[in-house]
Amino acid sequence: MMYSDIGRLNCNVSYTTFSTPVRGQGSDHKEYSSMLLKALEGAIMLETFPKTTVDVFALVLESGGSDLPVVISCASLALADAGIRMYDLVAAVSVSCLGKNLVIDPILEEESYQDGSLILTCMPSRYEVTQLTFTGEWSTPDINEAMQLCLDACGKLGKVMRSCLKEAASGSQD
Amino acid sequence: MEYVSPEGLLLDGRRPMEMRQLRAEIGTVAKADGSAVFEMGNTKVIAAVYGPREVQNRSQQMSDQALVRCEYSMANFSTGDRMRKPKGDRRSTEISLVIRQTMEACILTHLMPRSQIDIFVQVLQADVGTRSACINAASLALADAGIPMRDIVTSCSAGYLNSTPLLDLNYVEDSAGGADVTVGILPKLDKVTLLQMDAKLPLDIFENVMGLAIEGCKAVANYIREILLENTKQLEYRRGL
Amino acid sequence: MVGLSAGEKHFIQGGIAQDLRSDGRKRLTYRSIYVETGVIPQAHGSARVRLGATDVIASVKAELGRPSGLQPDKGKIAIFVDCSPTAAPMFEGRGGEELSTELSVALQRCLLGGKSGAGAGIDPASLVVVEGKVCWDLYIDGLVISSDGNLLDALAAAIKAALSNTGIPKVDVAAETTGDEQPEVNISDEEFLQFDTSGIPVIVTLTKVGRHYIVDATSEEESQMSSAVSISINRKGHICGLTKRGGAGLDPSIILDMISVAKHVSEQLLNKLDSEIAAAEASDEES
Repeated sequence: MMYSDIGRLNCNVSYTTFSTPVRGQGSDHKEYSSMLLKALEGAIMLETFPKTTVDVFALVLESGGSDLPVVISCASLALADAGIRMYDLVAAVSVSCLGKNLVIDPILEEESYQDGSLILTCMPSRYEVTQLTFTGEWSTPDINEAMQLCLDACGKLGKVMRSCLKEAASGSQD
Repeated sequence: MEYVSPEGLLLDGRRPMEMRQLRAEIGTVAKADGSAVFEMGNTKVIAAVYGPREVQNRSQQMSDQALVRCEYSMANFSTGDRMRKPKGDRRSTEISLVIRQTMEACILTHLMPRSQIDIFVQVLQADVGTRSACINAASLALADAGIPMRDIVTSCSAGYLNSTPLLDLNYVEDSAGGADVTVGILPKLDKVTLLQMDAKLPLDIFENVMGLAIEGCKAVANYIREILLENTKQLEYRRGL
Repeated sequence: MVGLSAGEKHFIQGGIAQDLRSDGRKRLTYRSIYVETGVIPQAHGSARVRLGATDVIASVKAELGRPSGLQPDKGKIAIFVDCSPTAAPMFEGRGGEELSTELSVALQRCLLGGKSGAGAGIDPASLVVVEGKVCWDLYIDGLVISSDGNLLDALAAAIKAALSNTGIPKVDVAAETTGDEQPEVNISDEEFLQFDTSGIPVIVTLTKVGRHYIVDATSEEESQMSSAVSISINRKGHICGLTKRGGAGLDPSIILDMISVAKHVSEQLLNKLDSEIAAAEASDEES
């Protein structure tokens, strides 16, 4: 592989065969893998580990909707646990649009009937969006509302993740 | 089934000695060092040449000559039925090899040691004779890239149906199952660099068919020369000479 | 990969900051678009779009299939993109696969709408022949022949043009069948159905270089980007999809600003594209 003066990040998301209601193939999920990579690479200080690679493997044990946001948040916690230097934790939340209603953190059934969805990944303390995707038809006021909803939720999720890390750190000291 | 009518015409109205329509265009891929589109009837291919440049894989570097590489790929929509097959199947690997060997024979590789020349051919529409069309396109692209060559390789195929030798088969004629001879020549040096045939032919008829294919190659060579001259004139004009 | 010296990088960044890019364009100007339709006779519809030195072909093929059990009243649409090694030597072998997947996913997200089909450019319900039994499966293939940045916008434009060029054969269902039997169908050779393509969105990619954002970046400019946002917008000015590329984080207010800029740019792009498609169709019919 070619020399690189910044670190590399390699992400892989896969599903177990029993994770979905219908028995699946349990194969790699290429789309989610690349989305995970894009969501995380902006938060990691890649320049702190030149010539090396960080591998992030995510395995979905049970799929109950909003898989990708959970994978992203979980991966950022794992990176923090591994002591990889990051600008901030990464929190992700998705919103589904069902008719006129916005549903935050949709479950599988809601996702299969959604008219549109929005996944927002952000660094809560820095208030920066690292990854954002939309599907379906949205008007501008809807986008404003949905993004605000996601940003607030990410802020709260960030706090929970932070306290979880603190707990783990204090637990290991004892 | 009758492929040649009593008047001596083929199903699509051509004469047995007549080629399908040729069309060529130089410089279609702006970023490449040399590129060309070549059409033979319904077959349409694009070739792009990158190089000579630094060898990517050091272990393949040769100190006395250039490394020539070739990749042949077919677009998903190039055939009648849509297909989605992985890259690098056996057929494309074989054709890549054939094109590489043919082109290597005419490039003056000893002039460019420790360098690499990449030839990429992409089939947009596949009828019959993608092999020939690819070689012709690659020749044009190499010439456009200004790579030193002994001669311009040209290729053409010929077949034998209803006891008539036919030049440049089309799809219907090819699927009839007769013999199909593909020839590549260096027209100025009058040398054959590629010769492939499937099915069987008596020796004396084979000579006839091969002679016909060589005539076809020469016709292609004339056409390619015209296109190159035209292109050079355009370049000259743009430089204000 | 684009190899640029420090001086070249500085020149590109400085030009963008002063609203005069290295090819003389302003930040929000597109390169000239050239559309050609009917380039692949074997397909039901096809188009080639050139945007400066970027050159892409899109083709549409329709096959009769069975609708999925979950959505019996809808046909299926799939988008695949392939990066030809002619565009860049790095796409050789499996090298182009990563970019191809990324482009396919982005196009699917931007053009096919949500899971229920809301916001889709082509209504999947219009592809059904017999509910629950026969439907058209639409395969949209994109091929990148030459790449000089902004592939996503060019591919979306090519797909829009190819769909306007598409004629799906009219299908007659022979007789009423009962139970699980597949009904017999008769595909007409003469009558073709056209799609209503006015609802298909265009994709506008805003590339952020320094503090400013530009549309239709060349590959040199793309190498200097900190992040890029691709927004697909339809005639009504509604957002049909959005993807972000590039690692750097963006302030939420900047994203909202980008969306409003993209909306403004998309109107001009849609008008330009529609007139180009109409001109291409006219010259295609003549020849």
